[in-house]
Amino acid sequence: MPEGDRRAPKSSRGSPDGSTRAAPGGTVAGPGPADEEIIRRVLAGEVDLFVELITRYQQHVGRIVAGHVRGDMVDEVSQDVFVRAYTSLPTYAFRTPFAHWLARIAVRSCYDVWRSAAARKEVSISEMGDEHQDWTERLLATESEERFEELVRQQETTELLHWALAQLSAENRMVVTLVHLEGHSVREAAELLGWSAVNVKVRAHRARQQLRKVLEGALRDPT
Amino acid sequence: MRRSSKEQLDKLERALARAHEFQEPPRFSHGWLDSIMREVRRQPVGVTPLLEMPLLVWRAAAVVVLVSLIFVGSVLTWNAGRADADFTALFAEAGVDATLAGDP
Repeated sequence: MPEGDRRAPKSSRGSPDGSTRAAPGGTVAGPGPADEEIIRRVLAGEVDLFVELITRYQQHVGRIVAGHVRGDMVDEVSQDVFVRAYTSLPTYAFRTPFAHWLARIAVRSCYDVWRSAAARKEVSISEMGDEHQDWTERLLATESEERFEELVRQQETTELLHWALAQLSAENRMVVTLVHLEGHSVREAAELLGWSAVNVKVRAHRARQQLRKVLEGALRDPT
Repeated sequence: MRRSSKEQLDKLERALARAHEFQEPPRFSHGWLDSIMREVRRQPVGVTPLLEMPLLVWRAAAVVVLVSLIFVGSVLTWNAGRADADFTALFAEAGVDATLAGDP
């Protein structure tokens, strides 16, 4: 699993991808007012200027959300993130870069999605499908790194990932994704989730064990 | 399972982590942006401070609780001091009464 140290961007203008995944993209370029100025003007009543913030940070938010929810949910959840950001805008204290503040809302929105899905008992606990079983067999049989990479890029891998994550609780799912899949430190994950570092640290270990147990069960019991 | 369970699990886990890295960034349509703005215009500004309000509330509540404890503690201490003084005075008075009544 990757272990990365993501540094906070110093400015709230220019590098929205600094707070979550390492993948580049969505960088703000070109002239325009700073985030702070736009936020102040939006708060002063120029609501239409909020579109500028959405344009600047849609890729940033989209990447975070896509890392936590299924592809068919990304549009809706990202939309919810921006609406929540707008309604919470008066609480933005200008102390941290806007990208970080937005990342916290995005991560917590994703957590809310899984938490409410669990409350409604909508989370799938189905068996792994035949096609995924076949894919797993091929993956485990492969010896070459090229073939491994080729298999990893297939749709079945993403589906299997979502299936495995769906077996975890909302809390464990968030921690596994942030710490083990995205390589955030415990402190960063705690900050994003609004939990204590101790809670994340304890949960990170347990959550990974739970994920491995799920995968082990899938390997042992081909159905 | 063919090989050692741990080896297989590590491989599968590594594959899933790589799959997570490869996820395509989403592409949002212009309609998506418009629908956010429609929703935003419907929202009254600054009514639901979702992110930082709980922290402020907790801090304020902690301060109120602390001040209340200090206040209650000092009142109790003060009252206890007064009660001690009252009891001492009472016993002293009782002692004096007994002496006056001629008790040994």
